[in-house]
Amino acid sequence: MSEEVKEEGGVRPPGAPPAHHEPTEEHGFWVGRSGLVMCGILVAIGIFVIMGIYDMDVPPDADTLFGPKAFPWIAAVACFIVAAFLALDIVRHPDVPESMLDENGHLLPGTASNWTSTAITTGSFILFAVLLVPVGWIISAAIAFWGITVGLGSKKYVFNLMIGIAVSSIMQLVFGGLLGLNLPPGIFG
Amino acid sequence: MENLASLMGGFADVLTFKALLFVVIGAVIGTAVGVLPGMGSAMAVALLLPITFTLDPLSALVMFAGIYFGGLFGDSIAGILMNTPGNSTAIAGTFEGHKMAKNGRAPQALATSAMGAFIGGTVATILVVFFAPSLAELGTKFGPGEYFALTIFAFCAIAAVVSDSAVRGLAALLIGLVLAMVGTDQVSGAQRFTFGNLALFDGISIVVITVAMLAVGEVIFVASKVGRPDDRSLVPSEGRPYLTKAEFMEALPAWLRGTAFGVPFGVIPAGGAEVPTFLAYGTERRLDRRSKNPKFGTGAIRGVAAPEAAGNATSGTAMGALLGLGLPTSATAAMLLAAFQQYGMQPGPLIFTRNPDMVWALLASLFIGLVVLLILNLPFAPLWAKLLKIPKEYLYAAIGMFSCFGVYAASAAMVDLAFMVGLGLLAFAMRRFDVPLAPVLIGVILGPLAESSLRDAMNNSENDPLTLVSSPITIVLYALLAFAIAFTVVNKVRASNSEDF
Repeated sequence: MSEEVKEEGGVRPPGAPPAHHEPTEEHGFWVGRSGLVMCGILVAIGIFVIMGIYDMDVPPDADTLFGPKAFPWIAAVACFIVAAFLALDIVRHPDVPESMLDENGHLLPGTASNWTSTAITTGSFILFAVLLVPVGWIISAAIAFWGITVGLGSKKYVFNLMIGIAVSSIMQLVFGGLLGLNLPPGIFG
Repeated sequence: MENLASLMGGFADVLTFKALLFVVIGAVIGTAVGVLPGMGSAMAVALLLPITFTLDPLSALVMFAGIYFGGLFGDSIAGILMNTPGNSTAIAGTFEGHKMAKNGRAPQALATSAMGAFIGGTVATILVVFFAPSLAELGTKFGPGEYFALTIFAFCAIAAVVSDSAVRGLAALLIGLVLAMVGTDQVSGAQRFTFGNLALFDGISIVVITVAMLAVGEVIFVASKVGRPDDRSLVPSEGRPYLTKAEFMEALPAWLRGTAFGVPFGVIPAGGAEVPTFLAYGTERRLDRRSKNPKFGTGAIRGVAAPEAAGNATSGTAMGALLGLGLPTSATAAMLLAAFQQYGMQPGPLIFTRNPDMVWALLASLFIGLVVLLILNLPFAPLWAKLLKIPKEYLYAAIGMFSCFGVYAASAAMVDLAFMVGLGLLAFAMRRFDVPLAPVLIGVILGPLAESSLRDAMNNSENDPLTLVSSPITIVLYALLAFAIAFTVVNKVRASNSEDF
């Protein structure tokens, strides 16, 4: 396999063994094992499904062996089994992102993800969801646009806000005005 | 010959100024989203679906036909010039394509890829014209047992064969299956996992899931990489954007072999074109190694030609499976299925008799779309690459804004915006921890079909499990599946025993 292929989005050729990257020096248990978060998510989904099964109101005549609860049971049990196997895999083969190791296999300082940027960007989406109805499309979309540019490291705050307002206004005109889609007007309503 | 006459009728419907305009719009949008990293045609159709319901069905479907192939034309541009394939289907073509670009042969690599996509797509669409009606006829013989076998085949293929780690593939698949279970149970009418929330009675829209997982997740993932080592640089593409006769003759057999690999995989629900593109690449590589002066590793034209042709050939025949069997074999096909349903049409065995005009017009527009795409991509590929020069903060901010717009416009429900944020974060975690996203979409798309066909089969036979393997079609499908799994296991063992993949 070509050494130049980056593991973008976790895609590797099918059939090729996954490349594991582990620091050469001694490291703490959680180094390369943060993927256990995925196991936690799977277990949470499994518990959610079981709660949903007990919450379900099924018409008595439909509550047969292969009724509406059968597939959820299969999925819930499978969630726990897959979570267990995934945990086993991660514990046995810790995997640090390639970008976090130098050429000698030493761990670089810092975290693999830029959590400030991640939080600002995620916050922009949340802010959009919260603000859309009260203040309307133009303003909430402009704020989301601006927030994402800040999250991605741009420092031109005023300029970016203007671009955001311009783009959201154009979209309001084209889709709201020409195509008749109903976007919340908010304070302009 | 009846099919040819119907196709001519389709061309007559599509060769109007308005329809052609929408094909061109679709081709432009498709190429543009294909070029952008992380974006694909499934995303484009998902974002446009809510906007297009004000259009008449023919215009919308014809535009989607342009987008359908356009995504595959565009995604190799980023792969060849930047070594960052826009989509998993473009990875195989990137190995040799980027090396060609680094050796100053970028325009020829782009031309080879565009020609390959054109040849693969055209051959596959011709096959669909001739065989889709027969496939539909075969489809009428399919009962719940057959459909269940098909979905199981798809699940195993996408989770275990396509993904490099079966357990991660299965994890993603399960997330998809659970997402699809939310809402009113189709068989009994029971509410499942809605917890009394009215907005969830119709389930979580496939548009919301696609946009949140593919676009919002990508934006957050890109943000998480800000200030971290990442080396993306654009190789400029200058020079003649066409192939010499010698280059053409060298690439031709690879285009045809790639097409041959791609065609069968479109009908098999294996979740897209990754497998055939890699099979095509691997074959060319093995053939090359036997020749007197091997070119692979230094930018071999055949290493670009074969996977590109395979990718589009797969998409072409996937359209046949969608129209003939009503079975979406890729995420983009699933979005098209949603588009058909938006206009009250149900792809499947009956569509050729119920909506013949629409189907043949769609097939005709696929041919026109391919020609338009070739024109747009062959001379202008370097221009498209300019899209990659947009500063990434504006590119992703615009993608984020469009995602918000698409999700809200789909149903104007606040709960969808909450799902957008939640699923976006989930997709970010999956990207970060190498869990593939494609199985989620396949689970969402085929989960309901798997469930209803299993329950129908069991309820019709008083819970006799043997009913699932009682027909020749099901036995063939399960045998094929066993063969595919055995093949993968052998390959993985072999790969881990040798340095060279």
